[in-house]
This record gives sequence, C-alpha cells and structure tokens, in this order.
Amino acid sequence: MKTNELAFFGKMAASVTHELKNVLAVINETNGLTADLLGMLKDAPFPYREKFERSVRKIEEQVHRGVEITSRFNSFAHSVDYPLADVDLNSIVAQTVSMAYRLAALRNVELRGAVRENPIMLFTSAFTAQMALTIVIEAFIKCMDGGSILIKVTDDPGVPGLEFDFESHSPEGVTKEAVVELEEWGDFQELASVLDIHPTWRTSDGGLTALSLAFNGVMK
Amino acid sequence: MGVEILIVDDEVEFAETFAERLQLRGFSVRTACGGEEALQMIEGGEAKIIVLDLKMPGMDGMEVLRRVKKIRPDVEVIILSGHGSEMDESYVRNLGAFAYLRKPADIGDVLEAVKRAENRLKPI
Repeated sequence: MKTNELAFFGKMAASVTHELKNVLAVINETNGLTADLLGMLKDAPFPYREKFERSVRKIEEQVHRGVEITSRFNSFAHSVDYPLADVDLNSIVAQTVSMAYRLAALRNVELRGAVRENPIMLFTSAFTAQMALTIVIEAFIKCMDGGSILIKVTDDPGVPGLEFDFESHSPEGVTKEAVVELEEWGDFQELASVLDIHPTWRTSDGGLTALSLAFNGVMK
Repeated sequence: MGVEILIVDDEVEFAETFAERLQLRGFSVRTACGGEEALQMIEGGEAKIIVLDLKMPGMDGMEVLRRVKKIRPDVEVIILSGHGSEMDESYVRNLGAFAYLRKPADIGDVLEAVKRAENRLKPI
C-alpha cells in the first residue's frame, strides 16, 4: 500500500472505532441504568428478577469484549501513523494474535501468543510487521485441519525473533512444501525481505513442527 | 443534594442516561450537547464539576477546557472520552483537567473522580 493510502486507512479506521466506542458507551450506560433500577427494587417482589439480572451481566460482559476489540483495532489503525518507529515485538505479537484469533478459529485452529516480560524493541513498521505475521498465520491455517499455533517471542542471544509451534490434527501434518506453494507465502517472503526477517524451518518425519523468524536488523 | 455536575457530550443518549444515573445517586446534573452551549451554562452557572467529552463537532473538548479554566478556574473538569492517546491525556492535564477517564467508563470510577473533585472544592 502507498503511504497516502495507508494514512487514509488509518484515519478512517480510527474514526470508525471512535464511533463504535460511543455506541458501546450508550449501551453501557443504558444497561447500567437498568442495573441501578433493579438494585433499587431489590426488596420488592419482582417476577423474572434473576433473568433480568443475568441479562444485565451478559450485556456488561459483551460491552467489555467490544471495548477490548475496538481498542485493539484502534491501536492497529494508529500503527500506520508512524511508518517507522521503535516498537515492542511483544506488542506486535499480542496485537496480531488478538486480531487473527477469529480467522484461525474459523478453521478450527487455536491461535495463542507467548510474550516475554522484558520489552524487545525493534525499529520497524508495526503495521507491515503485523501484516507479515498475519500472512504467515493465514498460510498455515490453510494447510491445517484443525490444531493449534503458538507464537513465542524469543530473544536468543540478542537476536529478536519469533517461533511458531504447530500442532495439526491431520495425521500427515503440515509440510513445508504445502505452505511454500501458497500464494500467501510468496506475499510473506516479499514483506520478509523488506523487514529483514529470516525464516528457518524445523520438521519431523516430513511434517512441519516449527518455524523461526529472526528479525535480523532494522527495516530496509 | 451533591454539587452540580454539567455533562458535556454531543451523544445526547449517552449524556441523558449518564445524567439519570448520577441523579439517582443524589447529584444535581445538567447536560449540554456542545461546547458553545456548555460555555453559556458555565458562565454564571452553578456547575462546580464538568464531565467533558473531547471529540465534539464545532468547539472541541480541548477548547472548551481552555476557555472554562479562563472564565471559571474554580471548576473541576473530568475528561470522559472514547478517543484519546496518552499524549492527549498529558496535554489536557496541562490545560488543567483534573481527571481523565475513557469511555465506556465504570460508574464506580466516575463516582470516585467526582468525590475527589468535591474534596478539592471544599474550603480548607
């Protein structure tokens, strides 16, 4: 994407998430008012009280869920504000996992992330890095018949990176060849070369068990 | 009856429902759906605490805050916005905002901020 297109995307996405937060705020207050009124009537006989109270709790939970999703999407939208910046690899992974979680779940793949306690700073484009990781995830879930992907942040020794651990439910597992043939993998390689990411595969009995991505330097 | 609170938000549904919840808790509450209307109500008004949104059509919350602090420095301003970065937070605090909450906020957090604002308003 060109810089002006990215800026447009970021601006529109940020504006939409702002609107969504306003919608959630109205739902939250209306639900809160219902809870207040139920509380005021706590000693009065009230048919279906339990059902009302359960509904209030469910709406509250869903508002929190909505706020979390919109906040993540808002951070993602703002990641295009600075084409190059100091970004924490842990945040990139947390953000990507939360945004691609549903994409994987639709293919019966459980997507998880394991971040490190210490920040691992990279001078890169957060938006491009998230795009590259999402492309990798997409390429793998297409080759998996259910299973799980765990993305771990690594920092050995001083080379920041990621390790993807796979567990496919299909008996033949995922092969490197199957992944490499996908169009998505070609797209990833293009971005990997810009971001200076180097992949290393680990296989067992022909099946792929892990992929390491080393972030060797600053973005080219 | 507690001190008067003015809610300034262009989301009328939000402002009115939020006002109702504060009224149930004994506060006297008024609402304004824009910056200009808010400033008219503040000048010579009774409001001691303002709950202010940042993104509004016309005069935005930052400008309202700036002007409020000029005409009524005694008024405590709580920002309640769905928008805003850490940079915005530090900017509005420098302009004199007393607290910064993100929408949708927990009523308990709002009440806590209002209570702290009330304590600041009390003469020593």
